[in-house]
Amino acid sequence: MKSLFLAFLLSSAVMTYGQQDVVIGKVDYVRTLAFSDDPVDIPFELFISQSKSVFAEVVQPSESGDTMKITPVSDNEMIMTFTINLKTDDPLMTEIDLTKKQVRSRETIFQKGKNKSMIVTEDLPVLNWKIFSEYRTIGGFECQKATCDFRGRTYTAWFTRKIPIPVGPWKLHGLPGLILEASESKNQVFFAAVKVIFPYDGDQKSLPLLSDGELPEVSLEEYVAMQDDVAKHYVDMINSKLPRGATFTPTKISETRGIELTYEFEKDQ
Amino acid sequence: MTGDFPWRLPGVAWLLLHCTFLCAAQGRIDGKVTDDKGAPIPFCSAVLSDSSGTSILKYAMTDTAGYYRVPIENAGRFRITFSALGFSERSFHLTAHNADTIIEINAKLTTQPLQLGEVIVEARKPVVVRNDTVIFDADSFRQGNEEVVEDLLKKIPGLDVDEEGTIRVAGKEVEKVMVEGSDFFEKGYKVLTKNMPAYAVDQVELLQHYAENKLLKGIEDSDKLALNLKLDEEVKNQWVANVKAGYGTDRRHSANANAFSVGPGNKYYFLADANNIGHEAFGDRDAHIQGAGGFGNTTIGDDNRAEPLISLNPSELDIERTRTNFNNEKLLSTNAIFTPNDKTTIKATALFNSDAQMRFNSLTEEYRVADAAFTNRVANAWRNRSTDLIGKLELSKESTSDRTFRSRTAFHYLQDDRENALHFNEEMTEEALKTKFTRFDHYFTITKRLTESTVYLVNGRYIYDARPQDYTVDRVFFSDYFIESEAADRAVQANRSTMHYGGLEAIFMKRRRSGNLIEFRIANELSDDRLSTMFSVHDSTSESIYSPEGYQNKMHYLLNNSSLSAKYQKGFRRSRVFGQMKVHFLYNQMRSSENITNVSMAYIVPSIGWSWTPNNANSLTANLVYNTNTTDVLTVYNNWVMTGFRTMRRGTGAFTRFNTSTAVINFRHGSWATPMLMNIMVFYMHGHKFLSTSTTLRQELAQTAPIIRNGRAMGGVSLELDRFISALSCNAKLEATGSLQQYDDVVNDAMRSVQTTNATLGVELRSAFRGFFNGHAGLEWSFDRIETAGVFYNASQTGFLDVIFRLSTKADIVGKVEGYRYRGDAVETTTRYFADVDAKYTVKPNKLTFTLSGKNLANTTVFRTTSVSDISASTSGYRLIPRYVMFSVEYRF
Repeated sequence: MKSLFLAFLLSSAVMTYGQQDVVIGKVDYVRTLAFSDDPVDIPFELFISQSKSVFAEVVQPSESGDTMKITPVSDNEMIMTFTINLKTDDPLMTEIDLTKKQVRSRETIFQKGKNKSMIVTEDLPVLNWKIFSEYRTIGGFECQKATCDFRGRTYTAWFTRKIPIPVGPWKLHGLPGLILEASESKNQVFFAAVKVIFPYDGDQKSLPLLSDGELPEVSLEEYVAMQDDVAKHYVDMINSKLPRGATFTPTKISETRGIELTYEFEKDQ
Repeated sequence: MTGDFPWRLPGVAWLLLHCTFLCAAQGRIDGKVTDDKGAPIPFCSAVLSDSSGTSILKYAMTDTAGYYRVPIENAGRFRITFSALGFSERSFHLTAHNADTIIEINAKLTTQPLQLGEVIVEARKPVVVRNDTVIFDADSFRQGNEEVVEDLLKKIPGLDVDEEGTIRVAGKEVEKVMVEGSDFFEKGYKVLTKNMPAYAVDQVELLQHYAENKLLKGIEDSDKLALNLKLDEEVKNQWVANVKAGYGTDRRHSANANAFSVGPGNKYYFLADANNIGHEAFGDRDAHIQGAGGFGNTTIGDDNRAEPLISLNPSELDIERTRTNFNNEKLLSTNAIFTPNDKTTIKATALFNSDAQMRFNSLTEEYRVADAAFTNRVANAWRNRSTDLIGKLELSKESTSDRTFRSRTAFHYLQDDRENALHFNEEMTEEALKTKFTRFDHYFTITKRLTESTVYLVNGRYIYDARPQDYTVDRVFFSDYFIESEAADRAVQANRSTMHYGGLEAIFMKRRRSGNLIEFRIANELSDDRLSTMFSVHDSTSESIYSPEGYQNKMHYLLNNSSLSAKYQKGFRRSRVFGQMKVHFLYNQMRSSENITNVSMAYIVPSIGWSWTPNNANSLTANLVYNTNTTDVLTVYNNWVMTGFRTMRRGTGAFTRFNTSTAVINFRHGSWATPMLMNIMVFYMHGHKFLSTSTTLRQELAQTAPIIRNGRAMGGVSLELDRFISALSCNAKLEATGSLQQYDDVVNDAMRSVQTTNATLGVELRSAFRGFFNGHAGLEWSFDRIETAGVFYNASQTGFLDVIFRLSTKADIVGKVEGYRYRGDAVETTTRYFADVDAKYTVKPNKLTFTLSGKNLANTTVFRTTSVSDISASTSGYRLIPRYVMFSVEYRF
C-alpha cells in the first residue's frame, strides 16, 4: 500500500516537472570574453521553459594545449609566457529555476593536474536593474536599455518586451523581457543573441537539466574558495620554481576569476 | 477562492524579498494575473510606466500563484502593462491621488501563442581587433587616481603591469612603448611608463604581431607586441623628471636622474647616473656595439670588428661583479627624436660614460707539465680609466606604402688607459695598456612588399673599426730569450688593427597559404683587415731598442664571402620540421711582409631540425648542424705578439677551414604550472678539424701558437627537475650537469691527449608561503677534473639563503647570505660568507620611496677561489668592496 502511494507521488512529480521543463523557446548566443587582447567567442544555447532556463555552452573541438615559452630579455630578466587551456568534457551550464529561486551551474576547475567538474548551487541573485528610455532594434525586436551592477561588473542589457520572459544569457535575468544583448562596462564580457526561436519544436523536447548526483554539489562560497586556491597555488608553484632573486607577479587573483570578480558574501572583508 | 490567503503569503514575501524598491513607499498596485480560464499566470511581468507608456517607472513579476505588487512612489497618472509569454499584452490606465494609494488591478490575459519562428540576429561586437591594433580611449579607463602612465595601463583590460613595471599582455611582455609612434627607449620602456604623467595620454594603442619592419608583417613569424601612446595635445611639450639619490658610509654614493619631454615633432630624453658602488650603468660595451646594428632581427656584419689582441680583464667570478668593482662611474645620455613630416623620423642619441675602476687580485699558479713544474705568484692592482662616447643617428623614411627605407649610423669612440702595479714572483714592476677604439657603423635596409604574402629586403652595411693598442711592461722578465737584450728593462708591444667591412644581402620571403615559410637569401660580404704589430725591448741605459725578428707582423687580410641560402619550414599535426642549406663561396687573399697567398673555396652548411609534441605534457626536439668555419685575421698572423707580461701568441700563418658537427636533443616534461617540470638535454659535438694549441711553457714566458688537429669530441647532458611539494608549500629543484671533452694539444713540443670532466649538482628549496615570510635556499657542488700526463682536480661548494619579509604593501625587507668554498689539488680555501640586507619603504607609490641597504655586512675583505686548466692549478684572491650601509631616496616630479 505504502509503495503504491509512493509510486503515485513520483509519477505526479514527473508529470509536473515534465510540464514545467518543456522547452518553449530557444535563443542562441555568442559569449565574448576579452580578458586578454585576444577575445574568445564561444557559442551558447539558452533553452527556456515555463519557469526555468538553461544556458549551455555548445562544445567545440579544440586543438590547442598548454604552451610555455621563455625568452631572455637581458642578463637578469626574462619573459615567461604560458597558456593553460582547460579542456573538459563538461561544458559550462547555468540553470535558473525561477520557482525555486535557485541557480545551479556546472563549473570546472583545474586542480592537482586534473579537471574537476562540479555543480555550484546558489540562491537566485537579486539584480537591481535600472531601466532607461533608450531603445534600439536588435534583429527586428525593439529593445530597451537596462543597467545593473552584478558581482564587480556593470552590465548594460538590451531586453525586448516582445518576448515577455524574465530570463537572458548566463545569470542575467529579472527584466520584463528577454535579454538579447548584454555588455559589460570594460568590454570584457559580452553576450549577444544570434538566433531566436519561438516557439521551439526542435529535438530538445525538455530542458537539458543537470542531473542530480552525477557531479559533486558545492555552494558558491565553497566554489569561490576552491577557485581562488587553485589560482594561488599556480602562482606559488611558479614562484617557487624561479631562479634566485627572481619573482613572478601575476595579475591580481580576483582578476583571474573571470566574469565574476566579487561576491556578496565577501563584502564584509 | 478559499485558498487565496495561504497561497498569497509566500507570494508577497517573495515580492518583498526580491523587489527592493518596495521598501521606501507605502503606495502600491497589486493584484492577480490569470488566464481566460482563471488559472494564475506565473512570471508575468507587470510594468508600471507613465501614462504615455514611454518610460518604465517600476516593474514586477507575478509569483507562482499569479500575484504581483508594484510600488507607487508619487501621485500621478500611470499605465500598467501585463505581459506573459503565450498571452496577449494588456494595459490599464490608472490615477494615484497620493503616494499612499493602494490600487488593486486583476488582469485576465487571453491566450495568444508567440509565433516568431526563427529570427536571426546580427550581433555587434564591442571589442573589435582590426588590423592587429586595439585602440583604448584613455578617458574611458581613467578613475582619477592615476599618476603615471603605468597606473593608467593597469586599468586597461588585458594589460598586466607587474610590481616592477613590466607590461605583459596575456603573459607576454611588450617589446616597447612608443610615444606618438616614436621608439625612444626600446626595451627600457619602464623609464617612460614609470615617469610620464598619465594625464598626458589620450589613447593607448596595442599593436599585435608587431613587426620591427612594418612590411614584414604577416610574413615573418612575429608574436611581438608593442604599445603606442597617443598624447593629449595640451601636454605634448611638457618636461617630466625623477631623481634617485643615495649616500652611505665609506663615502659610497649612487645617483640617478631622468628628464624628458615628448612633443609632437620633437622628443627629448636625458638620463644621468653617477655611482661608486660597483654598479655599471653603462652596461655591457659589446651590447652598445651590437645595438648599433640592424633593426630587430640579426643582420649581416654583426660579428665583424677589429678584435683587440691584448685583453687584461680579470676572469669572471662566481660572486656578483659589483663586489669587486671599485668604480667611480659617470654616465650621461641624451636622446632626441625629430619628425619633420609624417613619413620621416630622425632619431639622435648621444652617450657619454666615464669610469675609473680599480681591481685588486693575487694569483698563485702552479704549472705542472711533462717536463716542467714551477709556481708563479702574481699580484695585480689595476687602475683603469675609460671614456666612452657614442653617437647614433637613425633615419626612417616611408616612400610609398609598400616601400620603406631605414638607416642607422653609429659612431663609438673609446679611450681606455690601464695601469697595473704588478708583483711577479716577488719582483715589482708596472705595466700599462692604452687602447683606443674608433668604430663607424652604417646600416641600411630597403623593404619592398610585393604581395600580401611575399616581401623582399635589401640590407647593406659598412663598418670601419680601428683599435690601436700600446702595451708596455717596465721589466722584461723573459729578456734571457733575446740574447742581444740582456740588459732590457722595458718591453713594448704596439698593435695597429683596422677593418673595413662592406656587406650587401637580398632576402626573399614567402608565406605559403598553408602557413609554411620559404626564405631565400643571397649575400656578398667583403672585409679588409690590416694588422700590424711591433714588439721591441728597450735598454734605457744604453738607450738601445731591439726589435727581434719573428716578433713583428704586417698583414693585409682580404676575405670575400658570397653565400646563398634557402630555408623551409613545414608543420604537421604534432610535429614540425625545418631545413636550411647554405652555400658559401670564399675568396681570401693574405699579404704579409713575406708573401702573398690566394685561396678560393666553396662549402655548404646544412642543418635540419625536428620537433615533436605528442601531447601537452611532453615535447622532444632534435637539431643537427654541420658547420664550417674559417680562420680570421686574428688567427692567421704568423709572427709573435706579446699579449701579457709573460705571454706571447702567434697565428696559423695560413688560411684554413674547420668543420664541426653538432647534435642536440632536448626532452621536456610538464610545464611551469604543473607540479612536476623536467628538462633533459643531451648534446654531442665533433670537431672534424679544429684549432688546437702548441704551447712552449717556461716560468717567465708562455708562448702559444695554433695548430690544426683532427677529432675533438665533446659531449654533455643536463637535467633539471622541479617538483612542487604541496604539503610543504615548497618547490624542490634538482639540477645536474655533466660534460666530457677530449682533444689533443702540444706542450713543450710533446703531443698529449687531454680529457676534461666536469660535473655539477645543485639542490634548492624555495617556499611559497602565503604569509609575510618566504625563504629560498640552495647548495651547489661542482667538480672539474683534467687529465693529461698528470691530473688536475678542482671542486667547489656554494650555498645561499634568502629571506623575504613582506611587512605590508609599503614595507619589505630582504636578507641574503652566501657562502663559498673551493678546494683545489693542494689547497683548500676557507669558506667566505657574504650578507646583504635591503629594506624598502614606500611613502607614496610612484612618488616617494626610501631604501636602506647594507652590503657585505660580514665585511669579508678578500674572496678566494681556485681553478684548473690543462697546464696549471691556480689559487686567486680578489679584494672586495668593504661593508657599507646606504640610504636612498627616490622622488618623482
